[in-house]
Amino acid sequence: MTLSKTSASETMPVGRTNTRGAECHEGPFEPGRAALMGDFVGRNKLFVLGLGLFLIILLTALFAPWLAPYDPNNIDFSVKLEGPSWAHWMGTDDLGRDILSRVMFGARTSLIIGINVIAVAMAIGIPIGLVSGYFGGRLDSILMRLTDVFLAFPPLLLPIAITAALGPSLINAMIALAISWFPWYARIMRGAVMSIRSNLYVSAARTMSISHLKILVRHILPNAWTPALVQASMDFGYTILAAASLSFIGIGAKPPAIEWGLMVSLSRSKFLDYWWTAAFPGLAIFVTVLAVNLIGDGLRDILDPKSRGQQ
Amino acid sequence: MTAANMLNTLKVRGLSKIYQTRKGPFTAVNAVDLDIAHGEVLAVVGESGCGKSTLSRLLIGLDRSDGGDISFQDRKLYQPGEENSAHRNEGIAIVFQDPYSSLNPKMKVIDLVAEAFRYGALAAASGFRERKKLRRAKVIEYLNLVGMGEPHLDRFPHEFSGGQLQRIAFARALAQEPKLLILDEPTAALDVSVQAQILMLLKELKTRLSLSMVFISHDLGSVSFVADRIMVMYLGNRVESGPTRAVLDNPRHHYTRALIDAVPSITPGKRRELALLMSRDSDRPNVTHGCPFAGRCPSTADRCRKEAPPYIEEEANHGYACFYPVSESQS
Amino acid sequence: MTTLLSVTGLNVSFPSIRKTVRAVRGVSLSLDEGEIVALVGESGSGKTMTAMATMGLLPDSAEVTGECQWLGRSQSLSPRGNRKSLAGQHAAIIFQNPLTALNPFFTIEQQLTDVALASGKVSRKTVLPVLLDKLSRVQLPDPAQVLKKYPHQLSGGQIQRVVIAMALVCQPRVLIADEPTTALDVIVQAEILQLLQSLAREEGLSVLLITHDLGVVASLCDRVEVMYAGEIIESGQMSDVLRSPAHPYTRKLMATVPDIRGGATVLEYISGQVPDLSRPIRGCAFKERCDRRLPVCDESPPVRALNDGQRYRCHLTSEQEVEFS
Repeated sequence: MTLSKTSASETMPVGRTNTRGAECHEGPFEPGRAALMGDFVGRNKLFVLGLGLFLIILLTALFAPWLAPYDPNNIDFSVKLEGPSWAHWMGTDDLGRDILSRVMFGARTSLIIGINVIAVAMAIGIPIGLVSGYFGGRLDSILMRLTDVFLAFPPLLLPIAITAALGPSLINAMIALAISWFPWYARIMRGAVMSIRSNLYVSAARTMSISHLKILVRHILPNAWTPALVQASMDFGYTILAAASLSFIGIGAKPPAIEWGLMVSLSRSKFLDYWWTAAFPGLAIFVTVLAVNLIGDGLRDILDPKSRGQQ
Repeated sequence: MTAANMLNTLKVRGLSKIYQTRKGPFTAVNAVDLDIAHGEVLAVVGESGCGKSTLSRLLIGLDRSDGGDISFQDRKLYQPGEENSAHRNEGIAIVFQDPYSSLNPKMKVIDLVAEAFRYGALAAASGFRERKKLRRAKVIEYLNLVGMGEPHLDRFPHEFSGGQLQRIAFARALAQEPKLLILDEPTAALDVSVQAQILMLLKELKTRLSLSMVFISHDLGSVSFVADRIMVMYLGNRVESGPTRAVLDNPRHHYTRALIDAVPSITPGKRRELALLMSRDSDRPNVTHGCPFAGRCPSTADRCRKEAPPYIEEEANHGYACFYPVSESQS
Repeated sequence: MTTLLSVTGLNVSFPSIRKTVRAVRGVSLSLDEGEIVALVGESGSGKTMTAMATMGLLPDSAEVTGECQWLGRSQSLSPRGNRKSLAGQHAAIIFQNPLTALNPFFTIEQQLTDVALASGKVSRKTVLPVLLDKLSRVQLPDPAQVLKKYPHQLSGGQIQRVVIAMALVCQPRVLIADEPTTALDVIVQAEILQLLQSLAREEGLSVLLITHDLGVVASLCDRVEVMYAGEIIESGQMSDVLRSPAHPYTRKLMATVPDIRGGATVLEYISGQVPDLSRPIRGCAFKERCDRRLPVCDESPPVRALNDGQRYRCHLTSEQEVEFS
């Protein structure tokens, strides 16, 4: 951060640097912003790729009404089940709806699901993890056994059970996913807090009679949230996948909602003959999950304190 | 003696701390007495594991003692419920050994220092803006006390060197307006040249603010520079204490003498040969009876293994716990 | 006396896109048989880098130039050199925190045996007597008992002895000790220093002792090299350098150490900070913090020699120094 200040005062006119050619190798090499950016991209290729893909998906979702070539709900039996063509890049489904447009609108649903589920799961899990890791003892045991109950179910079985109980709908599917996801955040947060808690600055704060709440918010949380963030970016993909799975087995999104999993589900009886009805929504799921996973992997490397050792 | 007691800032009687370990109870601090007068610097000296850091944690209230009293300005500390007692460590502040880990890396200097303000420190100002201005001014005031200033306010800890960080830690401690400062090896993590800066700062603070201090250290050089009195600890016990010069020039306990002999001098050719190889027997058994130092002492007799030597006070408050002390001519 | 190790013109730098840190600049030093040489400096002075470069232990990202000779044979200092280096044959290195050098899951015997066999100088049949011999040479009582123990069952001083024994198993001529006593208590430190001294005196082992503690230097070393900001700024016989330091930095450094005998009411200290090694240093590296700064200090200071082999890198002549003090 001080770099920019100093470089401003130390940068010399190009002509003069050339006359000092002999000394050049000794001088400080102050790279420009572009060079630093290039270096960052070079070292985190996959992260940048994931970020790029995700940005495309995000923009598509945001501007779907303007980008989509057709109304996604426009039924036109004259073009039903047509393969990919110039008019319909991804073909049409059994009601003659344009699959490209539906995939674009589906991105909205999927992103909303991902964001909501992760936000709710973090909102429940992080406070539990903070409290559990910070206070320890009996409170920790109780909270952790509670979260263990949720972790004991095989993945996807719990959301299926909860959605079935609440009644199949997209909202209920999201609630179910959030409930089955929060224990991971509680666990991750607890681990991070326990290692941060042993730092001297926490002891120092305690000697200053600072309240536990302030210690948690000011001293623990800012130093402990990175693992949860990395986990969140990874989970984003899985929740989209899980929501699609729920829709696929018929307890998630219901028609007329536009959702990738639902699209795959609706085409399951015919995708052997009309492959594009399932392939393109499936591909969309795949690309989104891949993108957020690349971002998550990249974040983990970038935020890892060990890799920041070269100060 | 009553006059002296009136002046006492800190009075500790029979302070003990026993940790339960897998191998059974371990006495980290064993019935330690100590007094610190107003404006006095007491150095607590000993090897690692002698209980000096546990002592500092007990004094600041990070750990609860298993026996004994801590009175600070005629109030008993850490004993809720009693009359004339306080649960919190009001008036006592601590500076830790490692400034790199005792300052939150995600907080700016201004917030680090301001966090230490006592409740009501900003009461003079009304309104958000006024408070913010006063807060800033007060932080600068404390930073000036330790030789730092305004340009450092909005920086993060990683932008500072170890010596500067330790100064910030001092400013933070002073911002609590303490009467007693506990220093847990404040220079051990620093370079030699920086260590001298911190020691000078300590001396200056002592004269300017007439603070009482507990200076915990293993470095006898620093101790002789800043301390008025020394207490030597061995395996949780007070083995010798007295005025700095008396203890260093005329140690009576064999352990104190070994410590002094082991300090390498920077004057070449002044090599002091260690008369005895003493850490041989370093399995550190938890001594339950007899003198804790008997296993390593050059003049151990049968009596030392059977009964613990009492702490005897000689003239000028110089006391030791030994049956067969180092004679004056030996030291 | 044979020269076991000589390093000339050692430069170590760490290039990266942001900046190039020149950690060591033009360091030359030599080590004779049975000699204890101290490499003194504060953190960031490049003393550890010098040792690591000499041992070929720097990571591949480091750029190392300079020449190194072990018993007269040249050895490349590039970190990308072959692994069976001369440094590994002739020297061993021990570090500040001895506990990290040992694996907590294996007994001392298992670990020492591995090292002994890997050195290729001991066969499996003769390994046990060799280990017992080395352990008794580092003055550990009851070596047979120690061999059966795990690291956590030993005290800090005992572990440092075991690590020294581990280094000796490779039968080195040179021992590089990087702050070997910094993590230890004073009494244990005194014992380890005595041990190093007796190894040098009685067995002709050369020791390159890296330390920041002038007390340690004074109690043990024959020669001393003082480093500052990646350069050696003063060198000579220990007694000469510590009795009459010529470089202002060495003088200051000595004045910062509080003496146990007391008497001092004021300690000198060095204000300011070590220069940023990623920027070019014009002239003397110490000039910003020096209270004897002259206009000429913006030019590279010459290396001046005093009569008895003491050398220092400064514009001040010794007459000027004497005049000042």
